[in-house]
Amino acid sequence: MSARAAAQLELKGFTEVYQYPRGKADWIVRGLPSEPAAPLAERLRALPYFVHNLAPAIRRRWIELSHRRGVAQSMLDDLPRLRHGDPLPGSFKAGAPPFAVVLDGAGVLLGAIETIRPGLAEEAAMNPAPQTIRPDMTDALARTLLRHAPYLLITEADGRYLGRYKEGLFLEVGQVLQPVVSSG
Amino acid sequence: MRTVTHREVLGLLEAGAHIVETLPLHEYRTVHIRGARNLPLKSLWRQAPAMLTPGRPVVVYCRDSL
Repeated sequence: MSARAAAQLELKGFTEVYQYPRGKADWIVRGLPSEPAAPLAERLRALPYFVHNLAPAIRRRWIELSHRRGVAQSMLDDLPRLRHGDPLPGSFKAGAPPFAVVLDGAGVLLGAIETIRPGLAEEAAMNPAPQTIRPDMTDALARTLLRHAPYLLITEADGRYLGRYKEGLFLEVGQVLQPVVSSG
Repeated sequence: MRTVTHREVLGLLEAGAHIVETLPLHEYRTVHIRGARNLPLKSLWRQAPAMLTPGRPVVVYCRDSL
């Protein structure tokens, strides 16, 4: 999320923008100054994130070893990609939001187009904070998050857009294959 | 945009940089880096120009790298 925030600030004209990707989890586990002083429960809650920050490979390996299905297997790259400042098309193929994603020059997600009206400016049509997930998240967790968000977009940790999460995509492929298997 | 470590953040704060937490208000209220302002991602795009001084360095952070 901080990568997307940094990209937005640069587009708003801020010239010296820094991103602290390890974030609050890193800060409070290290016992650095916070307001209020981080309670023990909060520091303990931050610990797994702190470990992931230092060694993301541990989590990825755990997902691999436990044969959990990952989000990358349920990803579609079917949304139009607009560059910031491009004129909005008058219509989009998709029937429900998001209709398109807006990216900066490096492919970092700036937002998702959720409204279509003739003459509407990008800023008015764009949700600048769509819910995003990482490609190495488990499919089970993504499905849980989807209960609280209308859709999920998949980005790398550095904010680069990859695609959108399509719940049940893996199952749909299985359903197509099933009659072929049973007919043999 | 450059990524920084906690040590570099401390240095930037000493030098007078803005520090901005982009998480929702309830998470900010629970605990935040001392001196941080709260600009949730949902409002940052529209409110940052009014809330931050142009030309001053800005450090942004959220919970973690996940």
